[in-house]
Amino acid sequence: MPNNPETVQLAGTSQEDASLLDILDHVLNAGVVVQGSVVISVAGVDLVYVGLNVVLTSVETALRNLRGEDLRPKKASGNE
Amino acid sequence: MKATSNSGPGLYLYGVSRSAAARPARLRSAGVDGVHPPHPRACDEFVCWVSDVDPHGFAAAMQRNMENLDWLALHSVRHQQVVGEIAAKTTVIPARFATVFSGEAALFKNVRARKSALGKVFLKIANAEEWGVKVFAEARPARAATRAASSGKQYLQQKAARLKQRPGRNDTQVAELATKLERLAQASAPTGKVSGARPDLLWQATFLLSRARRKQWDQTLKQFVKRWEGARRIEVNGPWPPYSFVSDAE
Repeated sequence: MPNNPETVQLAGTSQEDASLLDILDHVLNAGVVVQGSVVISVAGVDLVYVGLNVVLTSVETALRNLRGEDLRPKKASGNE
Repeated sequence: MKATSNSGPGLYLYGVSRSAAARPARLRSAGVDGVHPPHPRACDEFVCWVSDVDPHGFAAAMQRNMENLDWLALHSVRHQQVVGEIAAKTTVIPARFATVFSGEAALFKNVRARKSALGKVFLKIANAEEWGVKVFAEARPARAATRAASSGKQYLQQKAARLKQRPGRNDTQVAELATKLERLAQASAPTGKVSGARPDLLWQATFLLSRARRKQWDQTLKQFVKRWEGARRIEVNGPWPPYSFVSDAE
């Protein structure tokens, strides 16, 4: 289902967080050209766009920090 | 909240499709805010897929949370669910994550102004899907210097040496795969802004692949999987809506 793109494991195993990271990689890759940073006040501003360069840098940092501690994301307490 | 002349709900844009094409009667996905369902709005020959959002509450939340990984993950996934559902039915140009218009008039004005650019992108992405490919090292290269560093300087020198011998760009076999995939695909783009920091990653790219080439694509990948067994691991993800190939529409 295109709703949940499959991660095709051609060989070996992958980290559990791979598919979430893949979603972020692709979704946030749309229109990578970033014109400056953000205008977020909606009143009077037609197009609101959040500066993804800022976001991506911080996400990268966050992920790197996470990896430093533990390669896997913490599992939610309950099962689905 | 005080009403101004322009204070209806804001419109969060997921993507634009063509009105001539078949379109999903109804989307099942929740909207990006988890409250307002996505719906189509016709604008000339285009269909804009939008959700109402509270221009104050939601836009403010976006700004506050764009560095909050949990929030970003949840909302990116919702965005993908909607775009993915539309893409399953018709060609859609995905909007950038977090694109909000102050209202229908503003949205339509923007879409009309980009009419010819949108038309070109529709041609480019018709009958094509986005795929991500990653190659990981399976075996760690033997370390040249394994003795413990006796000083900080020595430690850094050893570390630099290890980084230098990391395979990657000059791995000719990886380059061969990249060339083959590029030949099959209509376009390729760099990727991995979020996931790219993994140390065992040798190479990754995103491709726009015609559905008609899918068989050759799979065959090529399988061939390399076999050849690289034990040395390199290939991971493929997709099909995605063509997120990485629509920046011309801006």
